[in-house]
Amino acid sequence: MFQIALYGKGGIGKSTVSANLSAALAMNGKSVLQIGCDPKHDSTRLLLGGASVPTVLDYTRNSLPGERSLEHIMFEGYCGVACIEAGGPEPGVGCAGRGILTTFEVLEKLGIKEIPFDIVLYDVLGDVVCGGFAVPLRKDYADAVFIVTSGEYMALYAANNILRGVRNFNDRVLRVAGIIHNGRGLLHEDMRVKAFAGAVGLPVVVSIPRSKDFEDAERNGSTLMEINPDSDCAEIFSGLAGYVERIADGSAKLYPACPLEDHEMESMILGRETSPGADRYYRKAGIPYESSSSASVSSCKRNLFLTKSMQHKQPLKGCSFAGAVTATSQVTDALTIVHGPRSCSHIVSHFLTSTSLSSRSRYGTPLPDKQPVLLSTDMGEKAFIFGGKAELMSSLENALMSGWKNIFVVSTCPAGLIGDDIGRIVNEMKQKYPGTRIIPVPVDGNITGDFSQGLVEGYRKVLEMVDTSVRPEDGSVNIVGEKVLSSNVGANYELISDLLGKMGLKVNCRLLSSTSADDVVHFKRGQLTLLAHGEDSGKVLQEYLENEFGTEFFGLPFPVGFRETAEWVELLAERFSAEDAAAELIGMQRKIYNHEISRIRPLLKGKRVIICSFSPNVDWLLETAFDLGMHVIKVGLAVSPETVDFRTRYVGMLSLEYDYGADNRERDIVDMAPDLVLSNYMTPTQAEGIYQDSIPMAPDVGFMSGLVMAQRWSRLFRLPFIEGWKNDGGICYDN
Amino acid sequence: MTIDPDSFTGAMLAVEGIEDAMVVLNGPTGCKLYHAHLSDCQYPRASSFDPLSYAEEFYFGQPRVPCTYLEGEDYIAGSTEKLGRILSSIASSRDGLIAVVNSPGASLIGDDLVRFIEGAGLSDRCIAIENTGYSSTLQEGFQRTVIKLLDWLDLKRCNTIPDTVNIIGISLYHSNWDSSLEEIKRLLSLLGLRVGSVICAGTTLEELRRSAEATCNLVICEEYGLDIAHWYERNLSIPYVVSPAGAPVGFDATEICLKFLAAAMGKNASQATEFIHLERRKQYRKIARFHSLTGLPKGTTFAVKADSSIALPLAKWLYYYLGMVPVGINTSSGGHLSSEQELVGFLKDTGFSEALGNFRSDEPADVVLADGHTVRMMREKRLCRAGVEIGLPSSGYVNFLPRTYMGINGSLFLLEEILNGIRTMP
Repeated sequence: MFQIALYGKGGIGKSTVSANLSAALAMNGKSVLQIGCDPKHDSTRLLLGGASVPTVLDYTRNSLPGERSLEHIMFEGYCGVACIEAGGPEPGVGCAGRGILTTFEVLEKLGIKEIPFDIVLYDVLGDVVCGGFAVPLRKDYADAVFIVTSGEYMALYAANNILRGVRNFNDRVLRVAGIIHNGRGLLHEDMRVKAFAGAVGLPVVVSIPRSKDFEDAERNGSTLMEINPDSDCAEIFSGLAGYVERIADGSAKLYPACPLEDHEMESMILGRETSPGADRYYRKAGIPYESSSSASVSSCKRNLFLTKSMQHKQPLKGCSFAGAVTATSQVTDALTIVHGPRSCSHIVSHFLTSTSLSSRSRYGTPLPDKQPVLLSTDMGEKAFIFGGKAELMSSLENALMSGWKNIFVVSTCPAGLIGDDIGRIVNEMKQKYPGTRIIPVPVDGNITGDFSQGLVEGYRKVLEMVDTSVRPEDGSVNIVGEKVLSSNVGANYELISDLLGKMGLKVNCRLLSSTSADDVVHFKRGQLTLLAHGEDSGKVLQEYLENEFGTEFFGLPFPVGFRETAEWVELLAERFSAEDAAAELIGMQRKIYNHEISRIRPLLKGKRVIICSFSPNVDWLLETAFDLGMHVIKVGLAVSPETVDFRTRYVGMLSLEYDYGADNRERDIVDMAPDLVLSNYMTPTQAEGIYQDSIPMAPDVGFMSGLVMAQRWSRLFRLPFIEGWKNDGGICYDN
Repeated sequence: MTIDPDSFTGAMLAVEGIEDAMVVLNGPTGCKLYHAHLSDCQYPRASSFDPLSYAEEFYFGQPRVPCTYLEGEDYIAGSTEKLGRILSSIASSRDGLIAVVNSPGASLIGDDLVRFIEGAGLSDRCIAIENTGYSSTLQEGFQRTVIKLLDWLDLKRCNTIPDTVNIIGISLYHSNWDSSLEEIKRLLSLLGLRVGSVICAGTTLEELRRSAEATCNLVICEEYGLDIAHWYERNLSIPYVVSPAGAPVGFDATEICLKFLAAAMGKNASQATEFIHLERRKQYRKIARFHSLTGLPKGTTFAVKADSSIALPLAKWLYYYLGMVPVGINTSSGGHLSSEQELVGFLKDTGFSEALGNFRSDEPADVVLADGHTVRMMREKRLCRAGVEIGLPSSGYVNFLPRTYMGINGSLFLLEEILNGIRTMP
């Protein structure tokens, strides 16, 4: 079997050339299969008397895998040519490239390769626009590639692009058969095509003149080979068929793909070195401003509210989709519809449930009355090709019929890649079901960014629910940006809530942690907003809320450790004139803290500590260590300075190192001989004389965070350096 | 509630179930992080979680499933450059099989992975899995990938090792798969049979190659193994046995499975059945004493959420052996038709048709047998007296004693959990 692919610009006449070539080959006694790889599925029409046949993709959409058979999609055309049309989605939806990939997979499964065709001809849409349309170029497919072109610049430009596509499949095999010139009857057309062919080192295999014979044949729904086999044009196709046969038997040669650079194309085809008028038009576009506005370009720049990792284009950790769902799923009386394959919903539902369970077991946090409710549209192969509108509409319809009034629709990367417009689909449904609140969150998997960015995007969409006419209420505060995937989120909230209560304050809205839609709507009732964590996504959220809602934020995040908590309480009390209550509270806690520190201090005084942390917030540990008289000999942050905002009140007292990896830690353990190494994860190193302990990634908030650690360290130093089980691992640290 | 995984996860776990194989994910980190975690938890090959120990590019702080971390521009331009780097990096640092698996999004790009692997000169140890299926079942993804691996291995049946059986239809997505395999191996030894290979759960590539020498294949869970068994039969003429009672869950189904296998292999099952009967007699008095005091477990309600090949024998055993009442039985998507149908018939015949599809995680049942997340949730909400974890996602409970719900030991485990559980208040 010999396989050829015909590529060329759309509308250049590939299908006419392909059908006539197939007919000519068949008339020479060859068994031929022609596969049309174009969503408009008209490649084989002229071989089938003008009939339009069911396409592979329509067939797979409407049939069960077990029922499928080649005979339902392969049709016999003129002179026994077997005809198959791949088909594809409607223009503007789905992914035609994915359709081509699927077609080839389906055909292979149905045993197309087991049929002993002499020649298989692939008629491929236009340019090599994406990986899907390049499938016929893969090694298992086209042995030879013909490029169909006219003498028009854009046709030659496309021909050159096709050569680039072939070159990108650089497998050191010569595969270009030559150029088929399908004439348009233009002035000097032959010359241009020959010049191009010469420049890229390819022969013009045939030149097909513009002829009325083709139109007559098309009107008849036939190939010219069928209705006018003795014409001059038919003779050209017979010659072309002979050429194909010679390539197949090795007597005609194939060529490498040597495309031209763009400027070479312009120079050769259009005979110019630079574009006329380029100097007139090539300059930065001005931005029109309203009347007398003094806005400058810089002040017009949009605030995109990007997290640091996005601003620095670092490798994305996690995906926006998961971040967005983490936010939307916190709205307890809302449904989140995941528009994507089921694996995406599985992954996100897995970690949301795991977090709830972990909070319950580690901190006794009650499980939420309602688990986050997710619904997957379960995009399947059909949706990947034809678009997932039907699946999303159906999921929305079911959700609305079940009584959901608040719905978020979050898109995954496949949905984004095939271009599903969830906003438009949502609008259609909103018109059908007025009074419902459906909010699209088009993050498109990780196309919008990483997990943190997705969290921000999710919050922004949830905030569309806020009623901006609501007025603040005295003594009412909001909490923003709790770490809902930390198992201590509930416990931390309880503690903060308790501190607030002691100052006569109450929480209006937790944005977002087990929050009702009504709480979000009345977000502006909060007189002051407390940011739970000062990390990147929290700061971006703060910026967004300040910009868009004029939200007043308290200056400090949730406090960790004694000093931070005392300061936090004092400042908050000052803001709400509750200084007396705060003083009493701090005084009582100080007594407990100091008493316990004095008890433990003799046990830990003078111990040398290395702190190795992923989080830049280590002051609570430093404070405890210093209060205990320990020596902190190194703080290693396992992050880059560009990605974190490290601040400490112990400036000048620390030996600090960024990008602190396992090697740095091992080096310091050997060189500095610490008594205690504190890391987020226990190190595999075992050394006599060195104790190790873990520190939490997300510490508990409040006065006693450091004290709890100190109590643990005090006991640690009375335990064996190396426990027995650690001797059993051998070389177990490899993976 | 945790939504079921799909064929993408099934495909990844098929490869990760091979000891000396590794998935290289051509996809974003969002797809990587979970699957690396899952593989590492189900089949630990590292002793530390410390991300600093896995700081090399592509690993993102985890020991398994390195990935090309596809991002916006890669979706447009293709992942060629990253694929080139990751393949040379992994191939030079590790031995064994590498399976390049496309994430659902990556499969839309149309990168020619095969060409890439050939270009890197890795065809002899690297396989491309370009499309794992979209939203089709985990079981389908698992079986399709195993078959692809078997095709790639190009197995030949040169000789047959007598009395050797391959185990098919257990995956890393089975709860306590390793303990289940130990139990099955123990039971097969009672028939004088030896397990050749387990396809693909804790298996080496060499064992997979030797699977062509087995006398017979035993399918434990049809939905995870029947297509694979057909492949062996079609390509290597190795017959297979699948128990009509479903997976060996409960004394009865275990006995049927062993008898059926013995008959197919021309073996005498009397020693194995006697062993089961002995165990039953040993447990009789314990159950009888419990029953005399409380009247239980008869009349105790139970709810099951599991694969159909497990739900069927489990429900029948709880009903016939312990006299328990089915109030909710849901089977996972991807269940096998015959066991699904038989389950329908069983519930209809016993007058409990209403239990089918009626597993409710917000309604009480005395005994709940389900995945770890569901069991934990229902226990915490005091919606059950006994919760038995028989599937993933895991509750996170760390087992030291070998625990399985399959075979004789599995029956004892179920008895222990149920009888001790139902005498406590939820």
